[in-house]
Amino acid sequence: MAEQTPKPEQLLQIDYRPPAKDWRDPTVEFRKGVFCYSAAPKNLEYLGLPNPRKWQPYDEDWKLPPNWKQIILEGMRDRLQKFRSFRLFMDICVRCGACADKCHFYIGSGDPKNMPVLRAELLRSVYRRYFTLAGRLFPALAGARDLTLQVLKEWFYYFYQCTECRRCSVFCPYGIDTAEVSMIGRELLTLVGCNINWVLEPVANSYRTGNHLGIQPHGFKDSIEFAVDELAEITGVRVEAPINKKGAEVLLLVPSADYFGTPHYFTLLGTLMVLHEIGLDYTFSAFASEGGNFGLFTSHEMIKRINAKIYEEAKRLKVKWILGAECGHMWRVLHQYMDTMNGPADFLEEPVSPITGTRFENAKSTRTVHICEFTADLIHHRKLALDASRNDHWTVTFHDSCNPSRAMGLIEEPRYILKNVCNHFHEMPESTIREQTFCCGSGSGLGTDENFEMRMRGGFPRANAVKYVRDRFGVNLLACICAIDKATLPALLEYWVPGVEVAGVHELVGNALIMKGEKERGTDLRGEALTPKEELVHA
Amino acid sequence: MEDQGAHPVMEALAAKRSAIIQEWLARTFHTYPEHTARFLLQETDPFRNPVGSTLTAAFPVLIDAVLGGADAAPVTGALDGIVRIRAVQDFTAAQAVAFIFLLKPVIRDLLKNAGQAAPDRDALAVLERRIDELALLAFDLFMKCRERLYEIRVREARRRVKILLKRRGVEGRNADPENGGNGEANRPIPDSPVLRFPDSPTLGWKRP
Repeated sequence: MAEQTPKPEQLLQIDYRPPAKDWRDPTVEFRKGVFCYSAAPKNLEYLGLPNPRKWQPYDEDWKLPPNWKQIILEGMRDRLQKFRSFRLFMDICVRCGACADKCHFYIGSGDPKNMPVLRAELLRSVYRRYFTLAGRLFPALAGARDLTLQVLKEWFYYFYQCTECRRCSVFCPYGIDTAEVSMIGRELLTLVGCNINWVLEPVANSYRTGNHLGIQPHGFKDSIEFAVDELAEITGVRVEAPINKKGAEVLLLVPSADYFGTPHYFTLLGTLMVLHEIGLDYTFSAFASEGGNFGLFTSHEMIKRINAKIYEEAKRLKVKWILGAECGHMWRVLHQYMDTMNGPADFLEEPVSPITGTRFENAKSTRTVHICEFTADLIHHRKLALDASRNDHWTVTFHDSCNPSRAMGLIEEPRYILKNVCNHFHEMPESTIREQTFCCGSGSGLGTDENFEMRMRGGFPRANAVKYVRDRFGVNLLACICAIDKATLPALLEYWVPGVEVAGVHELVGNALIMKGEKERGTDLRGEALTPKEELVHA
Repeated sequence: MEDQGAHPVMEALAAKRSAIIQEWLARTFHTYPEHTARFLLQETDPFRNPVGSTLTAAFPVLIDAVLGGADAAPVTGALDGIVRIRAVQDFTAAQAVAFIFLLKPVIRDLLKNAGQAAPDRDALAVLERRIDELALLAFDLFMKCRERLYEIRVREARRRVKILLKRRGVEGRNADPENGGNGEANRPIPDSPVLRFPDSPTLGWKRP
């Protein structure tokens, strides 16, 4: 033993540098905390997806079908023919590096394979090997790799480390949408039964009951009635919240997290208050009881399957148009896919606000209006009585949720609302908001608790910008318009920026809204006591 | 009694403060993969490169503590910023805090190059003890971060079904002080880590 004890000089020679690794080496380690658990077989069976079985990513044997390689390559060939964008994204990248340092996962983790260019290269290298002449003849020179089991595992590891937020695509001079590369990567993995439960359980639930949480119609009705009762206690006003009302003018679509989760629930309360106050003739649907669509994180086919209920319910209930509440990826689907996948919605009318007469021309085709557009229009036409001082306990900043900002350009409306319902509002630095907004790090089905460490890494750039406005302006509330944000940002901020809470924009609208016939508000929508006006004057 | 910085070795090192910081930073950045190390070092925008910027801002505070002794608060704050990051990155516990020990070879190399091949043993002992104390503090902070992660995970799970529990009237004893609960579940986790390290002769850390 004595001879083996290192001398002090030797101790000082420890090299802390990680060993140099070739990017083509596909080895990954599935350490708990940085990956999501596999989908339960019952969910695959329910959806008719291939290869349902019990397995976990850290298992040596993934129990793949014997011809898995053929399935993947055929799936790839099929998609190369079907999606011109996919073939283009495989061919045109010149590896300029513009996207390299734009991914929140790369910035937070330092793992080079989180650089969007390299993440896509994991798929491109296999594309080159089997679908290009150069790659078939000179694989090493062309940067081509054989499709091996390790490569498949690497795909799973990194395509479920992309939140499909599309920040990198903002910076790509060729317009490559790396999120779509991740989407195809996940589709291919799904062909051999490699998917995650946090995505497929909500999808299976949606397919069965219409919403992610699997709430059945009577449970849904309970939820809405509970919210109505609570509002009556807080405001003294009993609002109408019709469900499955045939012939209503508008179908209201909300993410199901709004029913139980906090702080989502307070956004639901605010939404109900606004719609009651202006007397909108609207209805919920107990089947289209979910705007969110985790099909987006599974496959194109699944997006379509899950989304079909929305137009179907709109048709059944004979509404004129659809109003969508605060949700993120729901809007990517509604805005960019629904029209061509489930449309045309020619049985609906071009949306016009019955209160202000505003024609929402941007929604001419989908016939679906975002609630922030709708409320901003109400405020602009002075149709809401607001007392912004009821939000004086908050100093607010706004987090642009990835999909509303980058997929539909909804940037000014929520800010316009916030500036009208709050007296203290401060922006985060320009390079972290609007189109350049940093993701929460938990989107695209990665917001599960077993993936907690990875989420903390991915969310660090966002939290870092929040920390800046907390320290500089005393910001104590981060407003946002995405249900996944509301579910996951509170934990992110608790870790990186304690003291900052999270709220939906319509929670703050609800606080500020002066309703006809309301009693004096003792509390805000969270039940926190408000300081009475006289005391503020004396202070 | 310790020599609080008046020693020639300390003075020599104080004169080389920025060189020490640069070298220590460079070696710490190289605990990341090669491409990332370059990015962390070169990108100066704190919002595009929060990891690199946090380390760059914190290292001078740590160096001042090691060379001259300092108050506990800024040292803890600076170290906490770094450890909070490394506690969730792809490091083992040892790797996460090992960057502190990288300071030792930096200082030795510097002294050697400055012609002080055999510097005063006492002065070196003081330096090394300060660095060791920093490492122990880093380990405390690391543990605090890991504990916080698990606490936050539990609180997140509660938040997801909070209204459902409220509807069923089973919000949990811990949640509601008015129903005989202790309100523990609603209490925010204290941010500043409690420094349980014994009074330090070198850095002047005091028990809270």
